[in-house]
Amino acid sequence: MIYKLIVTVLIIFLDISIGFSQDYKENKTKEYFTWGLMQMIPSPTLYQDTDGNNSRVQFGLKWQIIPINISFKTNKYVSNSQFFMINPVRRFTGSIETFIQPEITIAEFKYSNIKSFGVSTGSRLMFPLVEYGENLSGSLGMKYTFRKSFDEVSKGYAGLEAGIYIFGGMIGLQYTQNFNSRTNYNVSLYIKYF
Amino acid sequence: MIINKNVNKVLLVICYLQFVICISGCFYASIAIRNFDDAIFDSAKKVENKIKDPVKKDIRLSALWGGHSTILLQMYNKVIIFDPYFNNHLGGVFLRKVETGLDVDYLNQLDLICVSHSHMDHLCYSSIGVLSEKFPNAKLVFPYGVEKYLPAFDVDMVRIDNRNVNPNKIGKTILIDSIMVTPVYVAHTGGRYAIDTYTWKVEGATGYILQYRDLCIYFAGDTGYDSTAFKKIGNNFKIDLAFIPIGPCRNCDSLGFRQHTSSSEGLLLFRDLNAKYMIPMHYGAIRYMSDENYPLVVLEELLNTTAYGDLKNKVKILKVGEQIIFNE
Repeated sequence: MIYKLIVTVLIIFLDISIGFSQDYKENKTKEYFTWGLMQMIPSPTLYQDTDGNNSRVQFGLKWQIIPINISFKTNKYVSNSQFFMINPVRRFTGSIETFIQPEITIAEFKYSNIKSFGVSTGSRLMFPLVEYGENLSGSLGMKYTFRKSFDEVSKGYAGLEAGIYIFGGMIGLQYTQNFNSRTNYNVSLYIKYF
Repeated sequence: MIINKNVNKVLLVICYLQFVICISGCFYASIAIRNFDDAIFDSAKKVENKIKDPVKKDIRLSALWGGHSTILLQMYNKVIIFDPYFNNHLGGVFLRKVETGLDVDYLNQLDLICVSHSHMDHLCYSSIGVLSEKFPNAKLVFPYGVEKYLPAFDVDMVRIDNRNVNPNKIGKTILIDSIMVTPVYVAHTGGRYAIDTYTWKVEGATGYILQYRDLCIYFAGDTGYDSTAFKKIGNNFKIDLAFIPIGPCRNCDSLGFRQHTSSSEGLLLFRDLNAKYMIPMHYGAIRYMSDENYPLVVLEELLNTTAYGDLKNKVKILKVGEQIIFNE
């Protein structure tokens, strides 16, 4: 199965070539398919794993999905809202967006008594810092993480998020401060290609 | 054990996808690696004695080369800038070898800002930002598709429709601030971030013909060589001055580059246009696949051969920051 997937991906990407601007023919299927593959690239994340007495970090992966982005700096030819497939320019020049982040730790938490799989959802404000944000941009956001504890007492926790990004907002560092004593923080190497 | 097996598969797919991204962006990546050490440890060479009066009175035609593809053009009382790029770093990591030769502080008039396409060496946000703040009445002109890569600037933004242009068809002329602007064919790509350029192959690149009073100017932006297209342009317009790229190229005296013209293709393009004068550009600022000045070295060699010797007096080679005035 895995090899079939790789061969399929390879065939799609063999179409990497030079296509002259004025010969452009819209192919949304191809765009969304390749974009979808790019979204499979996760952001490596470190989660705090503690029970108050013992503490360690747990490695995990997080995926970045942005259902809605509303830009503050679009020109008159472009809509100020965009869904899922977001042009990086509209993000780093200044925008507000909602996000969904499925996340999983590679192994179970040792001390936190919470499950390895969770989903965060929230919204963040992105703002430009250098070169209209293309060279350096930042973000501030808040989110709620749905992650059950094994004793079913806790269903999730809220958190505040701050980030800093380079390369058109595609690579960055995100820090989240959670309102949960079992996993106070997590730090992500943010990766999102379109 | 089952979990480990699945994790391995996931990691394999992730590695593969990252490999694919590297391949799709390999052109940029290879240039980035080559330029990375310079970007950190070096700085752009200074241009001494920048021209303090780039806009002059009673001028018929003048051109100031700001380096790379940045051209300040004066046609009588109209001032136009093409592909303004004033930053010393491109995309944050590529170091410019020589700083821009145009000091915006000395610029006292600007009517049009023309962007040929959205690639990082042609579309610079902060440069347009500086110009739009200083000249709020200027018009920002760009081809269809580039709007996706432009934030809102405090100037009037004018998108020209070049979608129906092909090697056998010239675009529709529109009048912007009394200047007739015509999009013409370029063999070049749109996009900005690799996957949009090479996989989605998005639109967004054009050449420009500008006509004002008795003058006709051609700005190629970036283009590969297409004899049909350039002969068509040459047959339709009596061009006074052509700005033609001569790089990037590795073997600059050979032909067959798809989306850029080599030094020899630049001269062929000029010959097809049958223009009065040519100013070569798109070299000297960034080290692509060869030394940044290699395209010029080859161009000068070619102009000394019998094959291209007839063009020698028509090709005006400018230094970064140099201005040439045509009053005839």
